[in-house]
Amino acid sequence: MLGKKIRKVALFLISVIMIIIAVLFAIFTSVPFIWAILSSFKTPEEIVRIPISFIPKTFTINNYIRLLMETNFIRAFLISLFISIATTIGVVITSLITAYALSKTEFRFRDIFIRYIIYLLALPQYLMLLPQFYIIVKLGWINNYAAIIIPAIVSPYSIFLLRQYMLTIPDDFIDAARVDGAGEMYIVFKIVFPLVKPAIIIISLWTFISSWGSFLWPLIVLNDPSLYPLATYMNTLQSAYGDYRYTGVVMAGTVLSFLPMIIITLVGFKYIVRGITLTALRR
Amino acid sequence: MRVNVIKPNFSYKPYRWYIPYLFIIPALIYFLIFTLYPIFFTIYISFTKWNLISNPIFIGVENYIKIFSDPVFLTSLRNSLILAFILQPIITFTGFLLALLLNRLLLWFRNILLFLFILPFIVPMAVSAVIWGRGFYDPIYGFLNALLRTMGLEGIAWLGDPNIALFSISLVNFWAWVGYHSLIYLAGLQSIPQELIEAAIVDGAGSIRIVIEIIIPLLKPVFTAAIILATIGGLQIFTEVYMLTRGGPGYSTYTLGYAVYYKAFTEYDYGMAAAEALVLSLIVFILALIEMKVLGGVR
Repeated sequence: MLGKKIRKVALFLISVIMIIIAVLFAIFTSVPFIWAILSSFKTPEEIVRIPISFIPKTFTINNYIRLLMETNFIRAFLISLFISIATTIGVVITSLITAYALSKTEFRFRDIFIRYIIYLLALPQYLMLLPQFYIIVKLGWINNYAAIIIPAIVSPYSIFLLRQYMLTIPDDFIDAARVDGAGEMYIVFKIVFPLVKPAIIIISLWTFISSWGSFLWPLIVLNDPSLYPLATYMNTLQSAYGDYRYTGVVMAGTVLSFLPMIIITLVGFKYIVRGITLTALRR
Repeated sequence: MRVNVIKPNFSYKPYRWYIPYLFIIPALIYFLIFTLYPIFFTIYISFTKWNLISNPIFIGVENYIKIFSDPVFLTSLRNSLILAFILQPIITFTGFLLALLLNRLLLWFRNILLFLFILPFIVPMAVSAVIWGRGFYDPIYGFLNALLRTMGLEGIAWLGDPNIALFSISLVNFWAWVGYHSLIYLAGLQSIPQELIEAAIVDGAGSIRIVIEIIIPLLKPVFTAAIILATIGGLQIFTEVYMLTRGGPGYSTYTLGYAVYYKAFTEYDYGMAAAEALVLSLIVFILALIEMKVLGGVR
């Protein structure tokens, strides 16, 4: 009787310790964001006052006003929005038709094509980076957003994921539509599309998020910092406001950059979680 | 499931043999121009001297000899190997432990924690790096040193000390990726049939034995995939380095990714940059081969 009680208490204690560890870790992952938010509301005097205050003593929105009025932040934000939306639309369309061809039709070299996509997923970006840059130079796309959007609208990952989904659709569906005389475009967009909607949401969110965060490629193909999208612009902002007293302005910039991502993660949590699990466990 | 009824009043479009080819044209063009051609071109220019403007001059393996006698490249190789083969296993193992914790929590609570865990992975690294560099690592006004000082300790030159800077870069990478790994393992844990665990409990197995004897063997494919993916990612770390240290102080945080970038886009030595990129790719290739062997070849 007593032994059972001790066991129960021990189990309870273990659970409490586990919860504490998990919560501590959640604090570790969120503290930088909280710190950025708190700093963004501090006055320049408070930022450089020692000892450092954790909660701002005087709240000010001046940093945000300066960020929006003095800097190119809004422009960079809109550029990112444009690039991310354009890329996402492109990826959805190309993935749909390519994945359809790879799962619901037969043609020569199909299996080689699929195999190639799988290999591509494991290849490092650096293996292709220099010639890709050279191609952009030759195309005359330096300082042109085509250089960012066009190479991004075909995504091996999205094609692969969508194909996996399409394989679960019974062929009878498509055969029936063909017998009824439906064109292939009609089948893709009117029959297959509604059936793979969850996958479309996953790849849209995924493409948007990775496009929003893309850093190295825009850094290389854009020479003019006034054209930078948000992630790359962070570097410009950080050095333009290098003085310690302006840390609040820089932090306001980071807050407005990560806020859209937090909202997307909140809204699309289920799909983002699925997307991560599917990519990692794809094999 | 509701089957869409096709309206009979559109023109009859028979299936043609060339339709699949039409559908794969965009992807095919992309793969040829932006992936296949670049792979071979990178291999070719690694054997040349080239500055992008004049014609490449074939110089054999000279670039490879040069990079392996270049202390900067060797430092970046060492750092990348540390980031890939020491840091990434720590990240993935921590993620696994956290997944074991998360798996025992109530769903709503687990989802809140999971949300906070994966945020650093979703937020652009360039943005996070600014928060870390400016808000956390600053020696005077940063959060970490403020914290140390309130505990009565000395501040640390997080990014200024060549012996610590690589650790500071690693900490950011750890912070960004642990949640991702905990999510993968959580999914893996949930795919384990509950009866197996219950049967083990009935047999009197303790929690640790269950983890070692049931969970870890069953999750072996997940472990392999996660470790290989993470190692490949770890070899390519760039943004953290660019934003936080630019490879410094000295060359103490140079990574392969940064070395390739610097050689190509600051020194305009594309031949050497390509050779460095190929060394990086070779390591990735070997890792991928190991993965296939461990997972039994076909996926």
